[in-house]
Amino acid sequence: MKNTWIQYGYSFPLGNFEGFTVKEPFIDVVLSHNGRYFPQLSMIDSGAYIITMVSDDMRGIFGIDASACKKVNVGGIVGERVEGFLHNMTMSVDKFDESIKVPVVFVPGLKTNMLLGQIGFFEKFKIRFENSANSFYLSKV
Amino acid sequence: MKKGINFRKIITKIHANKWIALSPKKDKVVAYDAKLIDLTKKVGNRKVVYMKVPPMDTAFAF
Repeated sequence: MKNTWIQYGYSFPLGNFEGFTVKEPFIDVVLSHNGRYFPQLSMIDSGAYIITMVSDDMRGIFGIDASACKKVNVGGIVGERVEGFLHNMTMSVDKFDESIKVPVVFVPGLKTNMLLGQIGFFEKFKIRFENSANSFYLSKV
Repeated sequence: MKKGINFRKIITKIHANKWIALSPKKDKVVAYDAKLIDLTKKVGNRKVVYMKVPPMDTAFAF
C-alpha cells in the first residue's frame, strides 16, 4: 500500500455554522486493546497537533485502569485544561490491511469520540486534502 | 471512491452530546444514549460503528 493513495469522500457536518457548508474528513477506524475492539468514525485533525485523542468514556470499554496510564495535561483553544490518560493502543484504518500501534490520550469531557492527531497517525500516513474536489487521500509512509 | 456521509440525513438534535451507533452502511442511527457503556448494552452483538455527536450549536476547533 506504500505510495498508493486511497481516496475518501468528505462527510457533511453535524451542525451548521452561519450558513457555511463545512466538509469533515471522517474515516472508519477500529481501536483495539487486549482483544477488545471498538469500531468508530474518527476525524483526521491536524489541529490535534500533538497526539491522537479519544473520549475517556472508551477507557472503560477497553478495561484500562487510570493507574496504568501516564497522566498528561490536555488543553483546548480557550484555555481549559484537564488531566488525560496516555496509553498505547492498536488501530486499524479502513482500506489498510495492516494495524498500527498508536499512543492515544483518553480525555475526560471530549466533545467528540476520536481525533486523529500528529503522533501515531500523521507520522504513519501521508495525507492529502482536496476540499474543492470533495476528497481526501491517505497513503502509508 | 469511498463516499462520505451526509450526517444531516441521519443525525438530529436529539443525538447532540450523545453517543450513537450507526448501521454498517452508516445510513441510519441504530441506537443512542448519553452513556457509552449503556449504548454498548443496547447494541449487543449487532455490527455497528460508534461516534459521539458534538453539540450542534457551537463551532468547535478541535
